[in-house]
Amino acid sequence: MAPAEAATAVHAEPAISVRNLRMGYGTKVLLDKASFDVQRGEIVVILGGSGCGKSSLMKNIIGLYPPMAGDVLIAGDSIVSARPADKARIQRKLGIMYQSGALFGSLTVLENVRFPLDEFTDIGPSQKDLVARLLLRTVEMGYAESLMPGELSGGMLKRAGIARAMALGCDILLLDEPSAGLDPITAANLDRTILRLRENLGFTFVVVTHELSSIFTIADRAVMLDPVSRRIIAQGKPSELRDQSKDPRVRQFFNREPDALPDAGTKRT
Amino acid sequence: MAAMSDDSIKTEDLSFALEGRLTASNIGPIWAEAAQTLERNPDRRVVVDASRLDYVDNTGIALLFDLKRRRRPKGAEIEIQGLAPNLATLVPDDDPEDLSGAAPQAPSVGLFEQIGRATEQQITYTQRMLAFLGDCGAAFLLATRRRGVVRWSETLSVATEAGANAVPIVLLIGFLMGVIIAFEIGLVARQFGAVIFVVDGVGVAMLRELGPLMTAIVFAGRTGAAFAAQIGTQKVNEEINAILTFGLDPIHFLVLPRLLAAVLVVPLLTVFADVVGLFGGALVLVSFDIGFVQFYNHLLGAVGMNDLLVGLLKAAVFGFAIAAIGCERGLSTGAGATSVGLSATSAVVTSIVWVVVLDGLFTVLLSG
Repeated sequence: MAPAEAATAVHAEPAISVRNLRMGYGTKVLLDKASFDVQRGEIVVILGGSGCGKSSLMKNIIGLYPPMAGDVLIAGDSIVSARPADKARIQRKLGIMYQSGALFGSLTVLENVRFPLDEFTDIGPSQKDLVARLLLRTVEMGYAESLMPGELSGGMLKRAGIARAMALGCDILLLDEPSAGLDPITAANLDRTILRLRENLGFTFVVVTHELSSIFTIADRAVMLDPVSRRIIAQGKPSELRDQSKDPRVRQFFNREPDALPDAGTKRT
Repeated sequence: MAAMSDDSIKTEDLSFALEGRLTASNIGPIWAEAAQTLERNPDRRVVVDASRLDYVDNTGIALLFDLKRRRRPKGAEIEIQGLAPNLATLVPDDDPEDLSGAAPQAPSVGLFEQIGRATEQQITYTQRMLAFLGDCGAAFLLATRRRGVVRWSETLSVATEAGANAVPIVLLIGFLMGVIIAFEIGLVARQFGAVIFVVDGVGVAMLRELGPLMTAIVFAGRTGAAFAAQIGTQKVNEEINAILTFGLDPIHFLVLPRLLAAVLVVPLLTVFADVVGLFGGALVLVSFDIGFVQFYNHLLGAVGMNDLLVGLLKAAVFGFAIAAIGCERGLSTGAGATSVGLSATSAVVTSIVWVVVLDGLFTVLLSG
């Protein structure tokens, strides 16, 4: 993993640093006192049960929602206190794939992937097409380039969304449930793509997911949220969390165990 | 910063170097220059020195691939030297056909074919609309015969949104229509000393024509579009499919409450428009020396219950047409956000066209 180390040496500060974050909607707090760093070239998975605020945490990290308290630094710059122009500049460092792909409905798949290149670079038209096609091929969507988003399945939308997130060459990618709804082969290929990008280009990934097989394959570190205590209840290597965590909630999650049934003793016999 | 140095001419070979970081932000001119250099020298061997390349992103990989895949005559190949192995693995080896060429454009369609397609589309649309109206009529009949078919709570909430909340805008537009009509006719009538007959004009115009028509146009823009967008979004989110697979009929479930609400609410809104329109006319006529009492007394002779009822009947039919078109457009929405927008636009345009056509039919049928 030499390039990742080299990249780390250049940028001493973490790619993403979440500091004492409190977030939620209105007065409802979803997560409190959350602190973690994502180093350059690291793949960090945010996980937890449905509704624990994984996607909301991601939206706080990328500056879509302001947190209630705390700070988020992207490569050393605070996205929370940045002025609007600076915030846009910081956000352009991030490649983001939304849960539903969030492709623009009026553009074809190829045009969607080319869109950031059209907006922010001076690359020639046929060359932009080539970049977009290579990206689509990376996510195995080459055959669908001329389709409209309305004609795609959920998994295809996600893959095209990943290709678009990578188009500007952002080296920090945030993916919201990339492999949910994908067939196992495509999901495995996607994991391999993520690992290859990290290995060869030193990309940093924050992946929101609860696909266990994917977590064990790609994650250097997992950050686990808990909806009841509204805290980060575990951070660490997934396999270590599974085998060594003292927290029964963490072990239950990683071992994919169901909740205990109501105690049989309470039933009248 | 990446740079491309063109230090050749030592031998027959052309060589240039790619250096530093190649990223989306700086690659544009470098790529363009590289492509030009290659095109200017179609029969020389090219050596690309990539050994001093620190970092590339996806666009840099695409550039390397673009250099690698170019088919050139023997002796004029492109050789990339010194590319770090981690980068080399990311540059694809093969060059399938689908990566080259411009993005496919939609095939151009001739005028004749366009006319044909448009005609076919209109015929299909008319058929679908007629079938839909048939379904709505059947649902309506069933609703009158059997209890429990109509979801009244839904109907009332639609009526509140489409009716009660539309009162201010209907009042404003009705009032202004009355003022404008009275003023325009008043100016002409004064030349003939027939200002008192402006009351007849305002009365008939508001009750029979402008009251229902303006209300219908407001209703089409406000509510017809909303129906199409709501039902269209439900279609896109597969809610319609969910309703169908529960064994429910979307016409009963979604369309009927909206049709009923529209048929009830548009005549009521029209009454508001009529009243404030007449009031606006009376206000203008004060400046033409016709007082409120005189206006009122003359109005009673000029218009009858008949005029009011014709206007309200029109309003009910307009309301039905607008709601039916809005719902039909919503139900025939395609996929994606764009088609929801198209449905809403189409609902408004189609509704207004049909309101005017129906108004014409009424005028012909009821004038005899």
